[in-house]
Amino acid sequence: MRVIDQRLLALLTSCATTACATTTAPRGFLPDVAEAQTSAYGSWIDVLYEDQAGNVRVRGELIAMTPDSMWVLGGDEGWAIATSAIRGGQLAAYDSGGRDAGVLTALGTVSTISNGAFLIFTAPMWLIVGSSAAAAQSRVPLSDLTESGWSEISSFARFPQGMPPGMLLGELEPKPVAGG
Amino acid sequence: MLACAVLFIGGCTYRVVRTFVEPDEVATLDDRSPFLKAHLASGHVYVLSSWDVDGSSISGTGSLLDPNRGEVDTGFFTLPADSVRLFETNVQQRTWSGTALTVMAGITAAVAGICAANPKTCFGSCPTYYVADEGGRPLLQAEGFSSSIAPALEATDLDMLMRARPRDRRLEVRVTNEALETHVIRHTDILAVPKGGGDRVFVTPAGAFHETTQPGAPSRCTGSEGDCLAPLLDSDGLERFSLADSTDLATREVIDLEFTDIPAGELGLVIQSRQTLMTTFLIYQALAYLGNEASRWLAALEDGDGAREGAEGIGRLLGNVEVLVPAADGSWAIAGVVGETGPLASDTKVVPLTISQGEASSPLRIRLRLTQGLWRLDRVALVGMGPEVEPVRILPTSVFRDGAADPEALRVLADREEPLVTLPGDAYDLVYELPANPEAYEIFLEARGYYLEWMRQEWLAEENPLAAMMLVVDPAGTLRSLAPAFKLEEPQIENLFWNSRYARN
Repeated sequence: MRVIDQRLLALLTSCATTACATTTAPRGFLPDVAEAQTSAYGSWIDVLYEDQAGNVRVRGELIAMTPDSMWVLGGDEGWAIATSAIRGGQLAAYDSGGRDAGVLTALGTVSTISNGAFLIFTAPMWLIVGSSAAAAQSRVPLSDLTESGWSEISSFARFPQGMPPGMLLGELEPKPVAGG
Repeated sequence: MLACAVLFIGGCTYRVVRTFVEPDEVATLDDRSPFLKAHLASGHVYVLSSWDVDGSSISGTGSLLDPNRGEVDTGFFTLPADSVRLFETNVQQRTWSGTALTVMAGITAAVAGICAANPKTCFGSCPTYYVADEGGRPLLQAEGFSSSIAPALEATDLDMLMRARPRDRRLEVRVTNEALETHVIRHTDILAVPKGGGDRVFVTPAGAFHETTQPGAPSRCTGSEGDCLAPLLDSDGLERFSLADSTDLATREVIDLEFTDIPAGELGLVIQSRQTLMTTFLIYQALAYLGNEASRWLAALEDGDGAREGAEGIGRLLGNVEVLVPAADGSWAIAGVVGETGPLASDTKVVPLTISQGEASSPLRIRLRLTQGLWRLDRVALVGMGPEVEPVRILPTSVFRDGAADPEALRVLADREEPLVTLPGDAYDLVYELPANPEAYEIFLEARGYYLEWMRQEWLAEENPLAAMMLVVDPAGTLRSLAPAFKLEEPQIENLFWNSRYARN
């Protein structure tokens, strides 16, 4: 292979990331693993809850979480939701790096051209192991919203200690997102 | 790329383990966390690095952020633990994904390293030809002009497609360049030879096609290891080979065969063989010794001066497989020699014997004399030699590359004046139209051309003009001096070879 065909690389990346989980977080919102250690903002949450009008889906930064309430800030809007009304959803704590693992899998697969005839073994190994790893990695920072997981969910809120006394959602500014 | 990949893995395959600690438990804070967040009841938070716990107080350098995460203050802070509502630590942990990808990168790097050290074990050699076998599976059945490593050594190579079983008149042959080489292919023709009333048609080392009858396996085989009969009975990929001598790569050995079923008429000995990787080792070692002078030396071959003599000296010493028959005085007489350079595809030839059934007493004894550790023998059979037959030459009718018709490649393969030049990774599918009733024909592939090895960076490190000169002036001494080096690599080379796709053909 004289030139690594960019289409091949894209195809391999696509294959490697096909099973990867995705989030609805805007580009640039989620910190990477290193940034997550210092970020003082809440994680991205996508919540489906039921009110008098039916099911409502809201998305935004998780501000705080208690056993009976959840506060979410999305852009200029904020919601205080009773946990008893939550029907589902997902929290993305940080950027998983799953796509990077997919790119790495594609590069690894291409790199097996250095393995000569053994490529027939190492290339499929890369695709199988790499795709599985990328898919698994993409799910690492994700948590489904279930009643038994409220405690874990709350640890990724802007205020893990709970909503500060007297604080109103309307007083809070959303996390600035580069380009977003 | 792999080095970058390993570094890349380090940054993308971790999880964050986040832990919260109440103020009255500050002694249990995880000191592996590079940062400490101290959440206040007001919604403010300290984000501290280089933090420390001293009894009931916390200190560290960092920032104080308000509830909107605006920076209120920076610097060194010391705060009582009980002024904090909740402490937060974050520790990175590698996920299994990272471990898996690191292992894969390691495997790929290890194989790449082995391939760099012994490229032929991984990359094949020369134009390699794949033709469907009895089950329709692509099978490496021929390698073209393996000893033609320079334009001056351009040669025509004839290979029997032993296991080609065309089901109709369309025969597809895939030719690939799997090495770091430039292949210059003048032509690749199919020679279809009518079987007539014979069993199969074989070609002699001189290039004459003969019908043959009554193939018979040996009843006994004795080599340096003792009984060697089993591997030689059938064309099944099970091969008889020996290891090279540890002091002289030119050391010869003999294999004694006995046949009890002697066909009628003139006799011939069919031998299916290929080389081990000894020749490959020697070619690569020669190019490594030549280093930057390799291209000049290869060009010198064109001039027909001593360079060609030097190039052929080692080949003559290693020799081919000699077939010997009993002479009247009890000694052994050479009936013919057979053998083709190349470790990938087996080559099958018939050596006419100088004795016939009438002169042979049962059991008929035949001796093979060959360089120790240089040959792999798959099958030996005694046949009755039928009449010589003429082949039908067939040129490709169409050529495909990456599934699309390539009329230019077809043109150059047909007109003989311009060659088809291929580079590493290239693959062409050549289509031939066989005569009607194709099963009545034996199929051979004739290829002409030469190839150029690409110099590898690792070879240049071994540049040694004196050793290169000794290759020419003292090939026998060179084969002795290189024996220890080859013996060091021999087990690894052979194991790799057997585990590669080619060894399974």
